[in-house]
Amino acid sequence: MKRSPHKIKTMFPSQREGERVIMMLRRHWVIIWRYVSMLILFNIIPVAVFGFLFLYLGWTIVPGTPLYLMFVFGTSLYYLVIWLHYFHEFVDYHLDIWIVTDQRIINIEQIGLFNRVISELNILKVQDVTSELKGKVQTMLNYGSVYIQTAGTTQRFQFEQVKDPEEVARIIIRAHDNAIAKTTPEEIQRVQQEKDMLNKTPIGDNTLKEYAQDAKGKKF
Amino acid sequence: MNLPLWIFLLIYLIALAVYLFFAFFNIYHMTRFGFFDFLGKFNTILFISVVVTILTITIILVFNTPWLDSVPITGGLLGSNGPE
Repeated sequence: MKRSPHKIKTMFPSQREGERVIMMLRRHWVIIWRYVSMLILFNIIPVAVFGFLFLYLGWTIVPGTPLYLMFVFGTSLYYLVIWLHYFHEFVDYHLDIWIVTDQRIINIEQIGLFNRVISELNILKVQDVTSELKGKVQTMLNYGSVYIQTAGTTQRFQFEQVKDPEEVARIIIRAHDNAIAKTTPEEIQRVQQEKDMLNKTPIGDNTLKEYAQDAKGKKF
Repeated sequence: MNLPLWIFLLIYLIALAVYLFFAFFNIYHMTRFGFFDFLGKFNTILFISVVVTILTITIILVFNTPWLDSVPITGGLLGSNGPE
């Protein structure tokens, strides 16, 4: 069995007792590297421009004059703003986390500075998992989206720009199968009824009960 | 009509206050929700260090400015001798 590339470094605050974290995901590192390279570029541009003006063309600014103050304060604010922009993007990147445990899937999303959304999904309610690699960059660097279809026609959990989406999808399906294998038939029946209530159309021939019986016969 | 130099300092300090407000909330989010791992710690400390460095350099560069002096708005406002 291929080992997951997603290592679990830390546990999360709302973890239940006995709940095992299977994987903890963030967006692919290339997302934050875009901002790192932008930061490097924006740090270099003024140095190059002012270096050209003052060292090559020989411009000077007399200290204590309004132009000097505008230059110093302007440059100071410029650097402060580009670093704050980078840090803000880093916070946004760092606080968007998807956690898959043996009981649930948790989606923690930081939207802007004052909006934080935490949603969770019972692992038993997973119906369908789709991975998607879109475009040349995502294909080359192997990152993309994972869509988790839950009960209902439009409800979807989305893992965005995660590393190795195919492997992530496989792990989620395996976690779902394992959870069903460990769950009592009464619990499965309850979840099935919830799903049927949410779905206008029935799931199909393979009910969760049958699926559980199949899953119990398999080794994970 | 004369323009006092402290006006520039005042504008800078107002901009800095707004800046520090946003910076504070970003740092707060990192420490409150960021599962404070190595990457989070590293970036937070780096950001704070860079901000402190920028502010220190700014203070050093404008420290000897005679803030109470005024300059006429027309002529002499820029104080640059242009290309030599």
